[in-house]
Amino acid sequence: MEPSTFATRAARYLRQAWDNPRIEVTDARKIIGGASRLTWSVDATWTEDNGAVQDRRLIFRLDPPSSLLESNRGTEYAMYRALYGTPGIPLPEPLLIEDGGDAFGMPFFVMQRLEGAAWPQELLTPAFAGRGESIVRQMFRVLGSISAVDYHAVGLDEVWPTPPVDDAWSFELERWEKTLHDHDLGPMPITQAVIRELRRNPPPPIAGLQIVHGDFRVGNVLFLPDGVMGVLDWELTHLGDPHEDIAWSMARNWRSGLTPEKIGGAIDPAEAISEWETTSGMRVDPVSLKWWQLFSHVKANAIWATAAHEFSTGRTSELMFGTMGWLNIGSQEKWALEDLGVAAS
Amino acid sequence: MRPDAPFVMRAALKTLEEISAGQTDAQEVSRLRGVMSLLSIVQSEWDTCAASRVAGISRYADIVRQGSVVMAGERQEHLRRVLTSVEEAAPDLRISTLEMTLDHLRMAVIDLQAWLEDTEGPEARELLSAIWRAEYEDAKSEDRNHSFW
Repeated sequence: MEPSTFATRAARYLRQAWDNPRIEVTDARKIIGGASRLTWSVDATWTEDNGAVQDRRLIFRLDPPSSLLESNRGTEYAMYRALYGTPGIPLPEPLLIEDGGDAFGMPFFVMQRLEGAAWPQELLTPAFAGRGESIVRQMFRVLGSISAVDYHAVGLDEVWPTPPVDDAWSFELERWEKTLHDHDLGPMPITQAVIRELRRNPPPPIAGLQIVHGDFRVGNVLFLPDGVMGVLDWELTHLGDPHEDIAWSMARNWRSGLTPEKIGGAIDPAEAISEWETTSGMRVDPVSLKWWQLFSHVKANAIWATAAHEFSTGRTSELMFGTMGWLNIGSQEKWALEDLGVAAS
Repeated sequence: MRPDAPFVMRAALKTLEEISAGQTDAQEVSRLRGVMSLLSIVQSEWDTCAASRVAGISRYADIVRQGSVVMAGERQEHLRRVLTSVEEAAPDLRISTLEMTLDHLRMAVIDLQAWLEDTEGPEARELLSAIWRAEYEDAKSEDRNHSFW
């Protein structure tokens, strides 16, 4: 959709939704990146009766016909609503949700646009010189705050299926195994062997279920030199074992090629864990972490397989979808085997 | 000497680099970089794509051959049939055929590996270790060393 068309439709929608015929959209642009939803940045403005000019900076998150992740718009929006205002968890304010396709031909929700950058390369620019470590440390304190939320207290037990505590791991493993099966790319002996290994040696039991962001990493956190401004992309959020988020956020996929031993190009894994423990009030179990690290390879490959499948079946022509499967699966399987100790054998 | 495909792709990459340098639209730059990234991988794999698949077939065929010795009955027959189909396809060096042959072998390896994991004995352990090593080599050959940032 052309920006001018999007702006016209956004203005029409906002006038109706906020019952304000004076609303004008002065800028609309598609945001690059983000493979599961189409994201548009919109500037809306209007003049009050007293002559005061108001403006709102907005994000429209639309559900495209083809998506990298099978995700639930309602769940993501509910997450923002439940956690908005929670100390230690910076979030954009959720504003509107629409299940119909009248405005843009697909469902969507609207939220406040926060200032900041999400693209990890920004951390390497002069504006962030000397700030990377503090930002990445804060990122893990934010994750700890997410893990510490009592999901009953914020009403999230109504939103998700609640897996039995003892089966949280198998719930997730089956989910991603099914995703792989549904987006078959041909036989993947390594990934299949890893799945069997995970099932044979489950992680230690957990005390209770916690909120899991599901895709917490550099790239899904908005930051300025002053610190973390917002946690984004809650499409994969669910209840489960918080070790899942820690393992995923530290995965080799998200590390800089320049400093692959550092999380976010800035801190050691042990430091990241320490920051998480400070705000979560929990301790990381190394055995659990190891299990979830191995699991992360299965989850990542399921995501890459989905992308490749969508591309190869013609459901999307987005080049990013085509490249993901081709570029990532071999590395992912190699890392999985290294985590299993195969490389050393 | 005729310009070969990698040579031509180098020129294509240079052209895209020049177009990219003149772009101010971040979205267009990102799309161009995606195309450049793909082209550079094709360029680097052009010379080795057939050889790496032939090596992979040889590696997995060896595993399946060993598996056909330790297995019995229908399982053994299945592995033998896979090996026969691999031999029949051997003269065909098209990448699509090599990929198909690799996939047949990978499928056979999945069954063999799962069976060995539940089988006791030093012979099974040894073959299982050989499978892990072959898989690691397979993963390395598919590793495009792609960095997120």
